[in-house]
Amino acid sequence: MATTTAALPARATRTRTFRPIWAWYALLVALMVWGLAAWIDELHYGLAATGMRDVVSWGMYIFTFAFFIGLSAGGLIMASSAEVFGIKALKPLSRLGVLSAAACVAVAALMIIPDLGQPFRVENIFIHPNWTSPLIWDILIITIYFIFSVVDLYVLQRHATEPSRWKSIVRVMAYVGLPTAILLHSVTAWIFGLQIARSWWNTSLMAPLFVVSAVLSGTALVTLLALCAEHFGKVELAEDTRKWLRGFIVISLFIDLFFVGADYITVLWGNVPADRAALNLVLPGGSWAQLFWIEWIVGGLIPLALLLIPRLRKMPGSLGLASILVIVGVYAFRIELVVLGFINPLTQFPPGNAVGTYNPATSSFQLVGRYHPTWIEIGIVLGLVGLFAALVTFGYQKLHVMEPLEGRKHRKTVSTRTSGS
Amino acid sequence: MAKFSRRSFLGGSAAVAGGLVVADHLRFFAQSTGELTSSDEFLTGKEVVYRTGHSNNCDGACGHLVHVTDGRVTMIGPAEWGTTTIAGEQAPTFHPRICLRGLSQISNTYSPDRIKYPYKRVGERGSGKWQRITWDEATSLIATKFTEIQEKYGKTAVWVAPYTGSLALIEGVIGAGFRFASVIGASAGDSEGDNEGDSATPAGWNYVLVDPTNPANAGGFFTGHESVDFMSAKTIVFWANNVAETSLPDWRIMCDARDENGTRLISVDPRFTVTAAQSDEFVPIRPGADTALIDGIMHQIFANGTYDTDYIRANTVGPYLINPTNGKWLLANEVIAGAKDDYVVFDESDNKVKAASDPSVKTPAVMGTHKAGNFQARTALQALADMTAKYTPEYTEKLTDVPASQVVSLGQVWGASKPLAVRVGFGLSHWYHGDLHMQALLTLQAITGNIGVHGGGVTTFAGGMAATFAPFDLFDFWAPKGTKIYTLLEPMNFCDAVEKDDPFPVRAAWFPIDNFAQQMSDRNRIRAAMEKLEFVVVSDYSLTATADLADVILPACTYFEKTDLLSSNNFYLQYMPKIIDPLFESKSDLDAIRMIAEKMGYGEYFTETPEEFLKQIMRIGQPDADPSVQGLTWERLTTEAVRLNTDPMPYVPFFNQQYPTKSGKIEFYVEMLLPFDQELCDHKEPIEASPTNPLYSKYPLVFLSTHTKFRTHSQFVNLPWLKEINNGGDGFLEINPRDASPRGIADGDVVRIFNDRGEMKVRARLTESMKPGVVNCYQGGWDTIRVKHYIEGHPNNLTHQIAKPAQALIPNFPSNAAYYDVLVQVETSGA
Amino acid sequence: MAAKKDDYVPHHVMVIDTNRCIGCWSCAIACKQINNEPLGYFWNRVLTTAPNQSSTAKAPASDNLDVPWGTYPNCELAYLPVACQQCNDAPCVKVCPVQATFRRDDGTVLIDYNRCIGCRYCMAACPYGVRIFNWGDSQYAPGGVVGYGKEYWTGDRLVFTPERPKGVVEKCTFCVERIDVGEKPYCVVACPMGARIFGDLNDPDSEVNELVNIGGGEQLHPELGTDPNVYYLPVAKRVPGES
Repeated sequence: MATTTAALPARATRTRTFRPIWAWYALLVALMVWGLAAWIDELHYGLAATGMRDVVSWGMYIFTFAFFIGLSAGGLIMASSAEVFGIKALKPLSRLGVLSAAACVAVAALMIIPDLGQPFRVENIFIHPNWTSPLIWDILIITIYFIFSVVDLYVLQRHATEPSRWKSIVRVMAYVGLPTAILLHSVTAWIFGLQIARSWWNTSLMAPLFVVSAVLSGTALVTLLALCAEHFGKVELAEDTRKWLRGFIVISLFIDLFFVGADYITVLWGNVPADRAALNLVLPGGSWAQLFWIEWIVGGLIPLALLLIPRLRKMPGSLGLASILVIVGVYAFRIELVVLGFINPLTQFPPGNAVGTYNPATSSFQLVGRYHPTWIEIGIVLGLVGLFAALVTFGYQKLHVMEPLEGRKHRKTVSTRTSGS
Repeated sequence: MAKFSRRSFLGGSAAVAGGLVVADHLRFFAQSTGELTSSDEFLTGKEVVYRTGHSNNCDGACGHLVHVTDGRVTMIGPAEWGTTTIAGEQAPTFHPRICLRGLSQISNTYSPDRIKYPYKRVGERGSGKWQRITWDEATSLIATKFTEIQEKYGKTAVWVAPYTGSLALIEGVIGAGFRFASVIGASAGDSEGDNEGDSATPAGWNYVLVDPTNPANAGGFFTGHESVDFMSAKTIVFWANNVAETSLPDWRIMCDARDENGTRLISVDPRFTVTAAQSDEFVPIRPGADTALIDGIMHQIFANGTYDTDYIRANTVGPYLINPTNGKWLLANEVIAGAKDDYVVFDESDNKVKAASDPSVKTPAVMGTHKAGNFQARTALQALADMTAKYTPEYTEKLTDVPASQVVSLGQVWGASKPLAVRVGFGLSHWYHGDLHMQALLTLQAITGNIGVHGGGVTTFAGGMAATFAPFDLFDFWAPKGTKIYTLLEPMNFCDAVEKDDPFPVRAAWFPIDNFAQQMSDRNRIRAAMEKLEFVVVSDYSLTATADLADVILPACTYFEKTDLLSSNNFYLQYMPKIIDPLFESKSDLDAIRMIAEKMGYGEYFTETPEEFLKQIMRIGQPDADPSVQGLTWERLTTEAVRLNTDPMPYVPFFNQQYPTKSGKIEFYVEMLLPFDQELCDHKEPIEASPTNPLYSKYPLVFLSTHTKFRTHSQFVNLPWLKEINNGGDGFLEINPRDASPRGIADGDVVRIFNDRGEMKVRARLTESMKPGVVNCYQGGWDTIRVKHYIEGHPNNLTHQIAKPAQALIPNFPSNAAYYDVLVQVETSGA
Repeated sequence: MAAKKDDYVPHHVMVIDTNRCIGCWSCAIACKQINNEPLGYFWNRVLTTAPNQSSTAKAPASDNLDVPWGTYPNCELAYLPVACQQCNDAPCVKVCPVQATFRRDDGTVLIDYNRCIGCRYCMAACPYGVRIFNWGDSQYAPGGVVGYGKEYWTGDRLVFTPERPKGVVEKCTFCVERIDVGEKPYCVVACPMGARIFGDLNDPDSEVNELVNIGGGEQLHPELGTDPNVYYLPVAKRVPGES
């Protein structure tokens, strides 16, 4: 294949190069169509089409919402920290981080819509807001955050082409972005953490825990996206960048596990039955123990090993694998948080809480809640995940967020991409 | 770069716009998910409220306020009671009452299970294959077949068996079915509705309080204290009576007595029921050992000397001397010169033996052995004391499993706490020796002076036949002029009649409001006998197990759909107006009877309307009406629940201490039971459910099938609103963990319960409410072709029909199904 | 009752006597009837507990109803009917994003069926588990609409409707349509034990006033500070052998 720019007609090359990307988009569109179809189904049948019922009344939409908020906040924290703390090695990833943050928070906000029983009344939120409700605070902060991240992305894009003119603005944005991102996930944490009815949630640790798991998962996500860019987009990550990413992940993973472990110890030692009720389900031997293993081993010890043990660290793909596992672990934590908060209600006596739908083959009551998502929920969530992927891919392609800041070879041309290395 | 940004921004906007368009299209889906609009299904019509009585098989006899809009029942609530008697006296306070079953009557009436049309069987009996026919066809067929069978086998070969499915006057267990039977000369079943397990304790009651040979006593009767009378009791003992679950509304009165008057509540039961939980004391008795416990308590009474001498002397046969050679009453003309046929007493005032009615008698001795003529004769009370001498606390504990210390304290309470009321359930009658248990209770209450006094007595529900029968001229209703009363064939004798023509052949049967083939004991035997019938008619509103076996099914009305009257044990007459038109093609039993009678040539006896019948039966406006309804006008009857005239008020039977026995006294020494070795209430072991039974080694568990609050016998069983609270409607076996774990049974396991008569399968429910050695499976669940509440079989597969000969002494209570006197074994079923 | 000023607002309170509640579920069925509730919905449930046990400090004896604590014959059994506690400081009112759930002056906590967006945050916030969500198509009583049968508005809020749309939350309303015309909630009317008493706490002569202030009425989970308007009279200690 010829290597000069002029030799090949751009269009033809584009077609050949873009084929895999079309397949990718086709997959994402298929997911989004599935998601939309699932939502239409859900509108028709009502939320009975999901696995939620009166005992476990929040499920996949809410824990995936919290998950995506975390991913979003983490991305922006990482990107802002690079600027605020002057971490040069991470600055190349700033725009990717902010793109990811914007896409995540948009998807997170959309994730709430299918969870609403009456989604077409959502304007009531703006007509009759209740200022004592953490949900209203969260909608407020999400809106502010989304606008901020879109503006920040614009600023960073302008900065990439005109660094000196935009430098101070970038700085200001980072100083605003860092606390905003922390606030975003703290407020989301407070949706749960302030509830006196659920002792599994009602801890002051909730906001710090959410923030740290946001840093963990958000950084891992940006790492993963960067590695994808490296693999598919023929960009190269500096070793320093990798080191910093590893460091962010390792430290935040340690803190995250420390927080979770501290919570376990507090509950175990106190041995108050209402508090123990949820923890017993999660600990080995309980019916939800798989979450424990996923959080601590799959998303905990194994990534730590991959990132700390020199031999493993040097393995190609170890950083990518660790990132994936960490993300899985944080998702397991979100499931554990939301679902287990509901399973043992505070007022728990036979026959239990009413279920809210009638099926002659099963009881109309549950003493201990049960939940597993249905294909409707999975479809809608995957559809929104597809949307996220599409937004990031599209943004990546059109905004060239991985371009280096120095050396104004700002457009990696098609031909360079197709040439050899 | 900027261009692209703008383009992507525009593209984004387009996407958003497109999304809004799609969202708008989706808005119509939102409409279907229920934007609030006024539905024309909401209740907008005029509402009419009726008052009626709840006549389903329950002596609570609650009054219902029924709300009807546009011809449909929309709400049921508890109704107020009239505050004065018919004669104008102030009645005791009586609260409105209702329970979850009465409240469910809307879903019962409009249930999709409702039988809509008449049907004729077209397959094998019990195959469930039906052909819809018209009422004309059905009644013609019935008339023809009945006539045929009567001609071939005799008039009594047709057995009409109305039962307690309805307690109302015209269409219930004292109703028009019996009139029909008399008119066509057929045989008929049990009109008191207590022959299936509810006649042992009434028989015992009659032994002691009623002379069954006196025609004035009409073959025996059964009555009790009005519920509100319990407010006067200092202590109430619930003997085998889970009032808080089975006579729900009356439990309020017990709670009021407890909370307002400090009345002490004691529960005697092998199960720790909700009644036991709310009582001050729980007596955990071995099932069937009741008489032993009573004897143990009486032992204490004698030991403490706390028997009521004055009362015994005045009102019981206690002082009468017994002939030591034959155990019969010593007759005055045997030992006193010139005396007539009379009882003999020993007068302590002058140490002379006298005839009981001798006017010079001052203080007859109640205890002791006295020389009378050549005899050393004991008083009846002495005989009782001697009999109970062996029932020391330790011996009583051995027989009853009640701790000796508790026997002692019960004896103290019973002797010191007056008045003491006993409320006894029919659970006590579900035993072979139920008559003996009642006899014992009456004996104990007699020697402690608790009979015929406010706050005392031995009562099963309340009022009993005093309210149910007395106000009505039933015999004229049942056997109108020109006819002879039907021939009585008790349910317990049904199988012999069918299988052996004993006492006469029965080849056809009509079951209106009677789920005979499921609720009668020894179900396998019953079903075999039903197979032999040539023609079976069932009138019901739901497809019961009995309806499954019918040749013709007639769709019956519910209590909303016909006029009737409910008289009840709480002494109120409740007029039941027709509130809605009969649903589908259902007809009242009276209408069905009329159609058939007409076709059989007896139409003249059924020309009256229900209102006319009611006026006739109660003799409204006539001078010879029963005193309890004297002065009643139709106007008053149809405008409020009117309280009967009773004396005293609250009603207490035998308040005047006049007893319809041979002696005129309480006969705790029952001479007529001498041939049965039961003249005194010496404990006898249950006929089957006893550790002394050799069968016990094979079947070591006592099998109870008690009543549950979630249904009334076999009614309300299949209503989703009740099923979803009650384990999805599935039956279960209550078993103590100490019986379950050696058998490897965990909570929820399927178990097989079996004995030599049959078997059933359900899931086990481990509970500490059961005494170890005793298991319980709530009765009433369905085992029909379409609906099965037990995984397999039915509790009545395990019960029997062993009749006690002594009961034959009481014509109205000659036999009894001892449902609880049953042994079984339980094992895991693996299925 | 003495004539009250037009602007007088009562403080509605319910007292439940667990000393005589026998767990018959009549109140639960009555509630379903007056409110035309579908199957699977219970605004009002009757829980099986040990006497005076308001927290799960002792694990239930069984998953099933009516199973006593203890070992035969030393058993304990009691019942706790639980519906919306109509809290004065309700967590659900605090978290509802659109103020669809609100507390009325008389102490009742009500839901505006027209405004609820179905986010179910209130269900997550309620410590008593008394809120029901309309997940999908429901099965009502056979035969048609039963009970009150009409919509009921308080102010401009729709607080009761006989057939609820999918996707909104609902719960006990203290039978708002009845108490506003001087009647009692239907569970109070239906209870065969007379175990439910309803009235105005502000009225010094009312039975509820006496039971709350003197009679030992206790709240459920008082440590949470929700200050419910439903009080429970305790089960009396039963000592055998004393008369």
